[in-house]
Amino acid sequence: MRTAGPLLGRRTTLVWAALVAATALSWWLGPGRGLLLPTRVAAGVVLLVAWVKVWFVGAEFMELRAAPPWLRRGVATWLTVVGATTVVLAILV
Amino acid sequence: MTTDADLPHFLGGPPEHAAVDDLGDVGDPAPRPPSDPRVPGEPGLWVFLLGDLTVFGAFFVGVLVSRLREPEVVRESAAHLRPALGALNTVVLLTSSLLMVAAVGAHRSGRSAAVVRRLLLGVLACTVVFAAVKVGEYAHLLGAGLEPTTTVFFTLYFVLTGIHLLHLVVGAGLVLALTRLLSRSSRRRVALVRGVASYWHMVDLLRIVLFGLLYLVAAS
Repeated sequence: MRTAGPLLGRRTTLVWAALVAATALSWWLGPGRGLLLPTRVAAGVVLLVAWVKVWFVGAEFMELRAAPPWLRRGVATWLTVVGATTVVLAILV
Repeated sequence: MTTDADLPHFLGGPPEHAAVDDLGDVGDPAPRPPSDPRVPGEPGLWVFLLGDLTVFGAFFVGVLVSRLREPEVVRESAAHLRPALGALNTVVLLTSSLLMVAAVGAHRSGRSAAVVRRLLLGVLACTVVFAAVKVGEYAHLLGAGLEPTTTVFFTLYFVLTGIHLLHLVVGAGLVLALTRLLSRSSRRRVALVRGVASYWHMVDLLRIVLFGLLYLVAAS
């Protein structure tokens, strides 16, 4: 039985830290707070960041980077279609 | 007592063509079902997950279409939500996902069942925090007279977050079951652990979009 070594790899921990930071930044700089970006652009950026975060959860946490092509294509199709549709709809108002 | 033979194939049970005698137990080198080891879980589970993601995707689009049709109503309704609590719960689920990754890694690398179980209990602790915050949010809204029928936004908010919370409760049940099943360790449980983990991460990634959509974009 192997018991040595850390429970989490450095890459996984860094991805988690980046996801937490992106969540905090989305809230702090998000639409409606009048910071940095016009509301429309901020709404689109917030959703774009959310979908990038989703991609990282899929690739790193769900281990889809190493999944067979049919599965990667299925998830990528969902992410692209729903992600692009929501970002465009968010920018329209 | 539940045995591998009682479980459906995608939860780690035997393939339909397997004979019960072939199942074995601890450390049994019996042949694995012919599933692709690169699939995190089982293919059947992923058909369900992709279907679930599609339904949520339709809801996401629905929120934004309602925002296009009634921007003022949606903006004023969403302004009653507390983004800080939304961010907090998103971070709580991200942390639960990290613990789940650690649990899968610990199980895969042959750590003791006690170590894996402790990590899974950490996941469950995150679930309790998330649910407590969510119930607090519901109580705050309902106390202010903001119900699912008040506006189209609140209808979507309560339905979407309610379905998501239901997914979380189901996931917590699976994690709890896993902590009990792990006491009878078997190589065959690798697919089971990865399957539950994939479901858990799906709940997490749906939350990421819900936070951006309901708490941030809808309020703008």
